[in-house]
Amino acid sequence: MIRDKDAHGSACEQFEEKLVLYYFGDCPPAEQERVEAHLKECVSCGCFLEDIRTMLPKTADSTSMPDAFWHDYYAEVMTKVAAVEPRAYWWKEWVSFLGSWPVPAFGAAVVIILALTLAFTKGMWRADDRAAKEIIPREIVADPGKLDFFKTMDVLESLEFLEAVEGTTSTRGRIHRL
Amino acid sequence: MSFFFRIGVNIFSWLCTRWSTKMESRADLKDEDLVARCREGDKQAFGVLVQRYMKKAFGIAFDYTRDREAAKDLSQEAFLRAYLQIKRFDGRSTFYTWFYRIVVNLSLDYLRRRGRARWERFDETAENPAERAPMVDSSTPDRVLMAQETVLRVARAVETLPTSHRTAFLLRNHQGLSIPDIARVMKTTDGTVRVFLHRAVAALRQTLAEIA
Ligand SMILES: [Zn+2]
Repeated sequence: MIRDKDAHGSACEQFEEKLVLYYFGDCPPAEQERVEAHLKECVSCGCFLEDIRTMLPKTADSTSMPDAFWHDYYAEVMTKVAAVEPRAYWWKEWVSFLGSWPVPAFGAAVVIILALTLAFTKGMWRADDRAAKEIIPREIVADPGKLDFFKTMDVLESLEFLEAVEGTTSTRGRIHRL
Repeated sequence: MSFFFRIGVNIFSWLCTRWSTKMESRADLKDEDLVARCREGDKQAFGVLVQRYMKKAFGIAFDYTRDREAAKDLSQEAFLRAYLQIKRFDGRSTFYTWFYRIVVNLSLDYLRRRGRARWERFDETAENPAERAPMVDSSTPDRVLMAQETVLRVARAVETLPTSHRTAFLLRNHQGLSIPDIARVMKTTDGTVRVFLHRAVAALRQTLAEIA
């Protein structure tokens, strides 16, 4: 079964896959023993294993980046994640942060404070009649006919009105409806 | 007054202790527990997963693209997708195999979109050894050139492999994933991964032997 050394030749067909797994340490123990026994008597398979032991580490040039790179990397990812985070979850964070018992305690405290505040400031919360008066912008008051435009603010619907206001009556400057 | 002040201090210290314990406990959690917290909207739990897998994700993307900027963008995009799709993760596989699949898919899609332009870029950037081969032995200028040339040829040989063979090879040889994990990433069987790995190594040995 001993073969001549054939530079870069093939390994035995039934052992080639096993040799690859052997190299990566993926052979089961029983298989490993068989491979080792075969390697003692087969030059071709020995060459094959030697070749891959020399070549494969060259294919894996690692990329060692400085700590500053990873710091920025992490910050960038978390910024992107924060930008897409559903807003509805912020309260869950607080609930899990506070735990179970402080939440009802906090709620009770809020209720007591509110009750006391309302009891001691009774009579100070009358509605202000003046606030009910609506403040209307002067330009609208001056010309009630313009109200329609200000209600909608739809430029395409109000082209004629806008032209009249700006005095663009000449045909050259006329804006055509699409 | 001092009574209220002391109560305030106690509450503050309790909050601080609870916050720091929570941060520590997150770092100790397993992936599946962190994923469960992410599903509840715990952004910090996802941060722990990012810390845990960012180097691996970048490494995988770099193995495919051979470009640091692209690897950074792709791996960050993978994290973003993982965060958005975390509710779809069914837990039948591990988080990291599910996540690596996203990285691999994005990297392959990137290469597919770039097509031939990738090789032009590869040759262009390879002129700068610091940009392309950071781990090359640079004791003498001749060695730099030789090592650079070897890295280039080896990388090209890897790139000529069929995608499935290449994926199995990169994940095993470069990233050290186990065969069962690679099978989960590729959604195939262990036996198929062994075949891919064997074919990749045999082809590489042949190609590199011709170069040598
Ligand atoms: Zn043999």
